[in-house]
Amino acid sequence: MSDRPSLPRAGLALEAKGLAKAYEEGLVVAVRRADLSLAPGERVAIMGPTGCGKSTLLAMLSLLEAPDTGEIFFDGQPARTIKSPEQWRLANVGIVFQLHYLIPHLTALENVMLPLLAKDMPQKEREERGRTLLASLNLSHRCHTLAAKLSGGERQLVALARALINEPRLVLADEPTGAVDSATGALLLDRLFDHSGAYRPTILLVTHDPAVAARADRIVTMRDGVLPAPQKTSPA
Amino acid sequence: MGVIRVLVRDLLRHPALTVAYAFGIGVGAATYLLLVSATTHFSAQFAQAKKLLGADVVVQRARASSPFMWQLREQEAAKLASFPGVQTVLRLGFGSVDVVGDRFFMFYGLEPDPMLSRSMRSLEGRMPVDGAPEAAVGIFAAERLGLRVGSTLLVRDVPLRIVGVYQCGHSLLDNGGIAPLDVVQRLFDKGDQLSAVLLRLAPGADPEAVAQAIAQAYPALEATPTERWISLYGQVRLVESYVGTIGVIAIAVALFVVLSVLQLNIVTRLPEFAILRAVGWVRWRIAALVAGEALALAFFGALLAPGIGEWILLLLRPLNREAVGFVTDHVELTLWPKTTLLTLAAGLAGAVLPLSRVLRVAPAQVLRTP
Repeated sequence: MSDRPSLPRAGLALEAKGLAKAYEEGLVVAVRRADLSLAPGERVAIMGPTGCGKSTLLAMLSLLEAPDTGEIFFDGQPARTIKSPEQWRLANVGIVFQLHYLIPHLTALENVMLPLLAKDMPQKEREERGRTLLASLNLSHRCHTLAAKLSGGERQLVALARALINEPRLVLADEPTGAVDSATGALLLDRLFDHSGAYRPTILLVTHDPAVAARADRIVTMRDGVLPAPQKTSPA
Repeated sequence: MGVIRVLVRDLLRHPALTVAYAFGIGVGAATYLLLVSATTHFSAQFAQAKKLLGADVVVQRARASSPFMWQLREQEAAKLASFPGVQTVLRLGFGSVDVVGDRFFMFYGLEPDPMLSRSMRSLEGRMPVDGAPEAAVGIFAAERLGLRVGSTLLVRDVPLRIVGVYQCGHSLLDNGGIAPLDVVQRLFDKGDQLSAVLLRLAPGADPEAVAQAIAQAYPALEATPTERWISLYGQVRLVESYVGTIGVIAIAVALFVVLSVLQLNIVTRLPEFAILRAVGWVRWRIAALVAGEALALAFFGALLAPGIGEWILLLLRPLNREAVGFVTDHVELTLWPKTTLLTLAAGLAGAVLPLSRVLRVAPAQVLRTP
């Protein structure tokens, strides 16, 4: 992405055992039991009906939310031992939300650079990485456009660029193509799945669209808050 | 650099609102600035008066709370004339009186004195002569009351002929009138009473030593080197204390504005902070962003404060005609650095509550809400 020599970034191994999450003092059960295992570099799609707990599962796996029960492991390390979820996310995870969640008064480039602002890095390098990534999404001409003035599809592409700017080892994408046209969706998936060189992040993708899910190495189905016990994973 | 850019963007996202917020803080800061300017001005009036009269020591009745009291006697002043180290005794009587169109007209009764005459710039006519029912008025008073040489000013039913208009650069005197001491004593029904006695000392005499010697010799008198005289007065201390209290309220207003502004801001921007947490911003970095916004708003407010203060004075000027000279007519810019520091402190203090709310944001919960 830049002239800066970077170490090959292998995907992160992820394992979730017996995750459960409920809200409103247990009255609303979002996830009853989720068991999941992803090998480094594996791409897995989660499918399932609306409200089955997919987004909550992603929130737990990104450490935005703690599970009520169960445990998560990253490269074999228990997630509960991670002291700063923010720093861990910064180093390892890129998230694409169902709603793009861009900051409307920042430009496309500034939104993309947000994670890098938390890193000690020359501003010039941040900008260079941001521009390169936006160029790869055909958005060079929109670098200095405020997020509020971008189209829906452009916003989702910028959100993807923001998730990838750190070359994360794990990408969590929550219905990234849910609200974009097919051409934008195709571009987005290409950029999400196609990585050159040794960089191959682990990808967990939530989608309703079988065509999107088909891009993954494996599809798992979640229903009524239950993700069945892990099946045997194939190395990427 | 990058975080500063985000901060600037945050402030510019609704420029009109940012200006309105800064203006609100500026009003608080300007109120403080005006109040402190007023106290400084008030104290400076007395400080200038003593310089103008060229006195080394001021003598008054012991424990008198106000310079407006007439509590000394002529015979006490006479005794001081022969006190060791004293070269000249200048008797002084003054008070405020209701004249046409002015309820607080200051009249100063002075003895003829060459040094005093030299410090007054006569714009028209001459200074009054001892014993004659005549007066000279300061330039502001002349303008305000429409007086000039040859006019007659009726004071407590006593007609005084105006024989001169002067300007000395001291607003208390330029805003009032000067008459012979005996005339002023009669005007105020004070017989042989005096407000204060000003002493000029012989060359080499130490004002502190002479003041102490007078206090020992005459326990009923209080002698003070002019440098410390102003601090004796209860009114000045009272005004300073009063202004100090209102100043705190003014700063509290600025603090409340910052708090309200940031609270409002933050409620609408919780998804933004949740996103920042989600992309890896640690809490202290977000705290720095919010505190930076508060400080920037407070600083803009402090920048606006002198202008707002001048504007307020301009608006109040028509209401203040009688108080020209007593009430400050300008913002004291030397007080701006202190005002800015206090406003910044208020900005930071006002950011504490909103900040605690931001730091308690649960990103997943916020992002789950449509």
